[in-house]
Amino acid sequence: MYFGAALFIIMIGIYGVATSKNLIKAFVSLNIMETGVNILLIMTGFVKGGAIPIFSSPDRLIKAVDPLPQALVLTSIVIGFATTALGLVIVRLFFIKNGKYELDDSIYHKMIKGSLK
Amino acid sequence: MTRKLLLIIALLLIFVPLFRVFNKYEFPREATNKIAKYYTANTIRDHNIPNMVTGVVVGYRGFDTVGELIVLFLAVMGLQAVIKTNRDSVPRIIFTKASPILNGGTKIMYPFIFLFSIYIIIHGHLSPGGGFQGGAMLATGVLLNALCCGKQPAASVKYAEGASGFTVVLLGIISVLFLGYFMGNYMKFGHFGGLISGGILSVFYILIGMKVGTELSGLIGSYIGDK
Repeated sequence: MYFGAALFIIMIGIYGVATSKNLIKAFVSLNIMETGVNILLIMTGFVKGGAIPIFSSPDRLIKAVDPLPQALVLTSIVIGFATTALGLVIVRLFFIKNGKYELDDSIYHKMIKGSLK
Repeated sequence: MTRKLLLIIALLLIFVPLFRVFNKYEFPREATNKIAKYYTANTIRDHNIPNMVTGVVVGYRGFDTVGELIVLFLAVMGLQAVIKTNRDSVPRIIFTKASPILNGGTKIMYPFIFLFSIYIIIHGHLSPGGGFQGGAMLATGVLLNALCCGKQPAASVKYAEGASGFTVVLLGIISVLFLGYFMGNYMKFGHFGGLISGGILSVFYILIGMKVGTELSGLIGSYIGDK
């Protein structure tokens, strides 16, 4: 069930990336896909009946979920943020050069002729 | 239309079998991973902090975290390079008066957002949260202020950013002298569960929080521009 939710979110993201011509929409879809991947990663560390990985007292060990995927997902979120910020600035540059956010036929012809700089 | 339908069919053809495979997976009753067992058993002995995730992020895998800071720094640097080299052609964002909801809401919420972000940063070793989350929250406050009143962060944030990033790496390298590896916990002070505990690890996380917060504030400033 949980896997279904994560895979469904990834699927929505792939659909958005593949069908949207607007570059900002494509980046938002990429972010949605990333959320699904993060859910999938977090789930690999789940333990049935496990508590959050924080101790309440020093001498009582708890049955906690795996803390490693959570730490790695923290990294993944930050990297995702950084790539999104950089990508959006490049989209803005694209808008300055071409006057629009869409990748359509005119951009394609420019690319073929090599005049897109 | 046909292309979209074909895309949906292809995605279903990939993901339905994947789901059927994943769905057979039974979550284990206890952590089977050796590393997870090690972290659960030794976080208190090694770092004297309750939060295992902080122990992993800053303590056991501190080198990864420094790499993460470098990736963030590179992304922000590339972004500012793109903005600054196209300074003449980038149209300026002109701020009109914000709506009363945004204006009033920001004025009420602004101090609380800052207070909560500092709380999250300095309690990184005790409760969920830490430097990255608190830093992002700090930048949210700066962003709200920029959206409502057109104020941009002071130019001196970049010095705070450089100083905190430099101090993290310097303290990490000092660890090599004491323990022989990068970013070890070489000063253990404080008692378990107190605000001042975890030794140098909490200092690392506070510095990382400062670095991330000031870096993202500088990013917002460069998006807004000079005028």
